[in-house]
Amino acid sequence: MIRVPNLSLDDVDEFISDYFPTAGATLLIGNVGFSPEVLYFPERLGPLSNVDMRFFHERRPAVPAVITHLASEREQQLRELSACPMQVVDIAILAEDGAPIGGRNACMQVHQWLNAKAYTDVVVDATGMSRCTAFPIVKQLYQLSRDTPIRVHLLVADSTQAFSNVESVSNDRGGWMHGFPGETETDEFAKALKLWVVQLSEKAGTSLQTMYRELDSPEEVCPVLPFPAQNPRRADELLFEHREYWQREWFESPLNFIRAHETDPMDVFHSIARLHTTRVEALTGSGLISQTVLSPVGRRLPGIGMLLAALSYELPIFYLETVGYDVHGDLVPGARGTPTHRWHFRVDKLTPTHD
Amino acid sequence: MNPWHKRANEFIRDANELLPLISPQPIKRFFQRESTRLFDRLVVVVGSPGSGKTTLARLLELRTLAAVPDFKGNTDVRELLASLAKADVLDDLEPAILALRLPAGGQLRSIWDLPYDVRLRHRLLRAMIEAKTVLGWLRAMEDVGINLEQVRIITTPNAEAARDAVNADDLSAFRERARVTERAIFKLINALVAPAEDELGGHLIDVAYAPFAIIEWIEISAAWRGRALRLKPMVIIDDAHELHPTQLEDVDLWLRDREIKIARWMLTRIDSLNLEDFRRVLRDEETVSPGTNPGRDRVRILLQDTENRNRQAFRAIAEDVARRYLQPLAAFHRRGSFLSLKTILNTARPPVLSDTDLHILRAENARLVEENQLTRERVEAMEAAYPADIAPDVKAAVTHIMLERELKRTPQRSLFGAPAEDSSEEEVSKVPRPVITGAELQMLHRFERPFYFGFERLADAANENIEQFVTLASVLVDRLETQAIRGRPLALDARQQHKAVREQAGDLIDQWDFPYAPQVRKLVDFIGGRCEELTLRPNAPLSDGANAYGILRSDLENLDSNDELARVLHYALAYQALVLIEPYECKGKTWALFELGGVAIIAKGLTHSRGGFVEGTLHQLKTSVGSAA
Repeated sequence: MIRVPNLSLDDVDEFISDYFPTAGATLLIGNVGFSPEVLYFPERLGPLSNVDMRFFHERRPAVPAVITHLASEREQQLRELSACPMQVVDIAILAEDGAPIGGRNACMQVHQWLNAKAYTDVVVDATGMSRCTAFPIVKQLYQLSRDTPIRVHLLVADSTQAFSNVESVSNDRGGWMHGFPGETETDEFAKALKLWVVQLSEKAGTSLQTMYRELDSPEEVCPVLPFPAQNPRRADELLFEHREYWQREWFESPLNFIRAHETDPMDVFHSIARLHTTRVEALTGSGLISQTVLSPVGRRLPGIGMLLAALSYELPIFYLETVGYDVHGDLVPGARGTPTHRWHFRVDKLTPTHD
Repeated sequence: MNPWHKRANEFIRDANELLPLISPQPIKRFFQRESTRLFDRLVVVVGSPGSGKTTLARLLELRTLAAVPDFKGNTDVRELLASLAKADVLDDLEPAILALRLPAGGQLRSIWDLPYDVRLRHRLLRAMIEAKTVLGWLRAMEDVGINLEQVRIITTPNAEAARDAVNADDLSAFRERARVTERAIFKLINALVAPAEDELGGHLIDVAYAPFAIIEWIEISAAWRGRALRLKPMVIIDDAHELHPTQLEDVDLWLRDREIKIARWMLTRIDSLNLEDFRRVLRDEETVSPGTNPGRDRVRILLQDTENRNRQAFRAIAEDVARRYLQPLAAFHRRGSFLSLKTILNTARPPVLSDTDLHILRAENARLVEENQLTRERVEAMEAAYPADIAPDVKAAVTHIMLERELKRTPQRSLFGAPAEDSSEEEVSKVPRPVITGAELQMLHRFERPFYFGFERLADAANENIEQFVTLASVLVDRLETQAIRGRPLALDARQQHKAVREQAGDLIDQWDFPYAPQVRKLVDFIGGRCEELTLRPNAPLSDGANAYGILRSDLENLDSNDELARVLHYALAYQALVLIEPYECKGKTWALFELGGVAIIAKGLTHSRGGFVEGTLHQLKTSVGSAA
């Protein structure tokens, strides 16, 4: 097993207020999102004189004006929080032909920021950031931390009462996330047995089906279900909603389900780690190659667990890019309070343990 | 395995399961169309999702062709095999081609994003396609049990140096050379930050790889099948629309080179063409006449029939598909008898209105008769001219329309004026079928009288797309399967069929999850709403109503390809939420019709027949998706 040093809830706030004021030059990388939670960590780090804040502004083609408007408001609020000059850079998520390019663009941008100044600490605030930008840059920084003494922090905040009337619209073609390619695409691994670990999420049926098809029908599918969850029936409701897929097309049985805490990335991480290592052990010596493929869909926190597993075990991530948002009804911004979930991970300290 | 649940043939991995499911008609039609030119030049096959592109590719794969001898005596597959033999895909029931289906998305597209000169990126893409193809051929041969020692690569004469460069003499070195290229490019694509062009150095040697220029045949010794086989190598680039447009252009240019001896196809959705190009293709296809030669070095085949719906042909295909798909279902097998979905669905008796509703309708008719000052005899004469097979409620609804028309036609009479002259006998003698359909549709909206039942209407809703047909029909098959398991008679009445199909159509639209899907839904709602309004007008001016939105072609020319509406239309057409019909001549003007797709037509309760449209403007369409300036 690999250990991921992590903190949650008030411990995160305590760590931030104890550690960062005395840390060296720190780079905070965030995203101008539209939910109020994106302000939470910048509020704590922005006023520090040793922290440079840099933000992506993810650009997608089909975003309703109301969301763009909210994002501009957030940008203004972020500027007010920053002690040092803040930078906001537009990151195109899709090329003009619809291909996902966000990850590559984000990595190029981070590369430039790191070349511009030497930092002892880099903080990725994944709160308002899409998977397609957050995951690749965390991996980029993780790789950098293997060769240099840089410290990499991953922060994420989330609230249960986040905008429930905003639905993301997915791309119609799946792809490997930048930096997390599937080796099954190459000849040597073409015959690997694919185990697909996919987060089940509401209204994601079409996306699930697109991914299943594009992964060329994986040999085994392990859906990740949110349990425990705030709505204890959520896992059952998801199973019911997607019964067509797992029963009739994937031919999976309840034995294959992974149940992991809805808001605890570490629970997801441990479940995947156990599954992956057991499978690799079981197949060792049989002449078969195993490839675990992860697909985060839906809520943010379980996805972070997948990211940690992908980093620790070099697992590929297959996903569908979000190309826009669909807003039903009015978008009422929630009150700015303390987010219900706060997490901190030390990405440069992923270490093997022997338990 | 339940093929109704699989929806697409690509989920069926086993060739032995796949072959009996493929309906021979579309394949036959495909191979007949361009029979002599399919394997010696670039072939571009264009079709919407589910139109059968991938099935074609799957059919040509070696693992499918290698299973053919097992089906020698199978009558279900005989016709299919005959088409393949005629097209030289089979040679005496043995494979004659070695095809690899190469999905174009993801990795190949990513090459375009590398920060290098365009020419280098094109070189990398070509090398990657060649390496992956070569590796795929070798894997395909191994998968069917061919020992690579029995294989010989035949190259063009006088190409010794190039032959050496790809190690064509030694199969394991041949494979290793391709792997080196694949690995080198894989690494470049997947580096989080790609190395700069001037740091590439040694990489460029690995990627200098061009076997397509020399490979002509692949020979397999007699050790495999008892006789030596000579296979034509082939690459099928699937989903080519996922390449960047510039990449697609370059690959197109490259594969059109007549020096390349391998067979090469590109399968693409209409996405690869922007709206402007797609419209050009539609027009090109229309101007092709027998004896003309539209492309010397490239053949473009449109899989969907955009010009004119060949309803009868597709109904026959759907019937055949339904029969093949029902066969593997155990629940139906146990019934022991031969089952046809068409018979089951068509034995449902037409629905009838409740007495109350019929009474309402007749009371309205009586009022109209009075307003029109018609005599009872005259109304009876009119009704006598209706086809004999219509039910009383349909008759009443048709009369309702005819009376409304009469009311519109007759000028308001003055109280003391002379009675209107009797109209000529001819005017009342014929009631066209569409009026009857129109009457049924009005009853659907007014009284929820079932309309979408019976096999023909189900098949017509599929937009000539087998996948769409299977998806729509699967809800009915599910219900029949339940009845079979419960030991009940296999029957679904009109109301059950109608309800299931309508719900399914609504669900399918709700599940649309592709870029701009919310805007496409708005567009469909807008067009559907306008068409419904026209269909429900009491005098049914278009008889069975409208299912399309027509704008003048000159107006459509003004659509900028960067406009949001252009993108929305692009996806709407790609996923058959809308079907573009152009040019459409009507009232002395040239129109472009955006016809609702079959699923949307069902969801909105409209007619399936073509031609009825609501006139509108580009600006109104823009407003409907919220993109008007």
